[in-house]
Amino acid sequence: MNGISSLNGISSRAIGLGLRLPHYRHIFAEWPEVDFFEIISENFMGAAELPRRNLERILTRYPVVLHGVGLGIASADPLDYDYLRRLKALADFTATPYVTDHLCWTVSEGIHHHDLLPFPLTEINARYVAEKAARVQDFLGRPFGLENLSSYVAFKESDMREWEFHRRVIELSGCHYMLDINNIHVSAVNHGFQASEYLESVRWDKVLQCHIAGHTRREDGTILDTHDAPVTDAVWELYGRAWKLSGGFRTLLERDDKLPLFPELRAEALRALEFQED
Amino acid sequence: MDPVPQIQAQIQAPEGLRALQSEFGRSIREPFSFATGRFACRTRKYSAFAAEAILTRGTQGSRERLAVYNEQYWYRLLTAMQEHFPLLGAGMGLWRFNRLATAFMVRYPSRHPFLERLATGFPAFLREDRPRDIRSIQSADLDFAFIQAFHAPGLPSLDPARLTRSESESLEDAPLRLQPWLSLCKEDWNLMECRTRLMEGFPEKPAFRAQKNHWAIIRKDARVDRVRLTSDQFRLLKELADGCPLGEACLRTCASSAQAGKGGEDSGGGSLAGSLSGWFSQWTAWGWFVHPAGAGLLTKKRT
Repeated sequence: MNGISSLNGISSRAIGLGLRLPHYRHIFAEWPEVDFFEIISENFMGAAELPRRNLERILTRYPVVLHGVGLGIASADPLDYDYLRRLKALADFTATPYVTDHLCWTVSEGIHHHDLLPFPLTEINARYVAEKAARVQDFLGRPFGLENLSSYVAFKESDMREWEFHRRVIELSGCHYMLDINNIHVSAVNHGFQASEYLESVRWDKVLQCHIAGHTRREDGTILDTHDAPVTDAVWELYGRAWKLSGGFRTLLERDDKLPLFPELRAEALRALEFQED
Repeated sequence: MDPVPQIQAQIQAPEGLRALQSEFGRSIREPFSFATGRFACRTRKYSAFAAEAILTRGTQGSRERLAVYNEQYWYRLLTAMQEHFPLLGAGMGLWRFNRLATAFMVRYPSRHPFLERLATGFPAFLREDRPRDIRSIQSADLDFAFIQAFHAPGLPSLDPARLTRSESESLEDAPLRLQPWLSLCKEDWNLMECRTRLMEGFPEKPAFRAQKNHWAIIRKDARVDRVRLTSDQFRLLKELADGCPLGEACLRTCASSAQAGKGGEDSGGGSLAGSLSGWFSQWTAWGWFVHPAGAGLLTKKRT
């Protein structure tokens, strides 16, 4: 069983959805039953009033968790404290029980690439990332989870497997996993490793939440983490294995493109129940 | 005081990581070739250092693997720019727009984690790059005005009832700031009409025709809206936006209107000077002006 049981009304087996703009109309009209929503932090960190007003309405009915794409914890550039202040303010505003972002870099020499970029998986880099992640968690004042990437390149310099690196960072930093089951599948195919090895290495007591999503396969065989399709059978199968190993976790379905109607997406998220065998 | 905890000294990054990210980043920012009539990655231009650091897999060389990120970088940024500048893109055609946006982002790569900030500077770049293409410049200004109206911060609005006597007296000579979310746009074509059609889902190429209009693009009740302005209203607000004190801005507008020989077009035949207070009342009620800085008005009200 997951060590972090219930957080701000989000039970340890809750099933949530990514909150996306085209679904607002349906949500505000129907107030469908959803355990929790996950928002992309950066969409609510600016000065725009409308996103904030919509978020206020959501918060009257649902717990919300924050998931970022812009922190770039592994960037060699220093931590951006202006960004972190905004993130902390949003975390306080939403009363999110935890904040997550990706185990990646995004900015180099002040230039933002707006992508989740990979880097060599080495001990020295694990220590560097862990030290920064610990500071972020301390600054935010709540559990901070790091998500494994879908990646399309691997580096000669890497001397750790991805799951070893992920676990090393979590253990050194005292932070948490934001485990993306789809990303494990994508990277396993792209880099030729066994997804089950990843799952077996996870410290399940440190998992805040798991993501599931769909992906796209290119002609050259590379799988891209596009979030534009339903979850594949292979990812559901992996999800079921993760559930058995862990004893349960919070589940979040991500969909960013080719969005179906909300009821359809909700039904897809609830398919998770079929794979939750204890 | 800012309640944020004291920031500790930054952590030193491993030098190898810094060097790799620099070269990797340079490679994925390498612009597409447009020469063949379709986007093509210029893999030979990638950093040899970055390519050398990457493992090959099967038939894929390291440069081909790097190209996945190169493509994603440009697709993501060009898509964002197309969404930010729908009128400009439709007006000049997406192929030309993409080339232009690429040139802009090569010269001014993103320096902010928020994607909406990408658009900042693009209208100015257009003025530098193609100063005679007035329609494109005005289209970019209009598109950017909508971004500003949505994303810019709002400051406390001017409330005449809360002005002290000295603040009230100083208003005439002091600059009166407009809200950051308010933009003024002048068009010599039916740009607003074309943009509205595009946003309503009519994707055909805009049917531009000559037509002079002036607009204030604003935020109202958290949503983006527009208000049609007369040329005198536009001139007056533009003077204020450019930092001209209130009294002087009014004088200049009246003089300019008289010079144009309009005899008070905006006041229904009456004097322009007579219309000014009505305009200001309306604009103030709509919250278009920022309360004078340092007035301490909210505190004053509470006491």
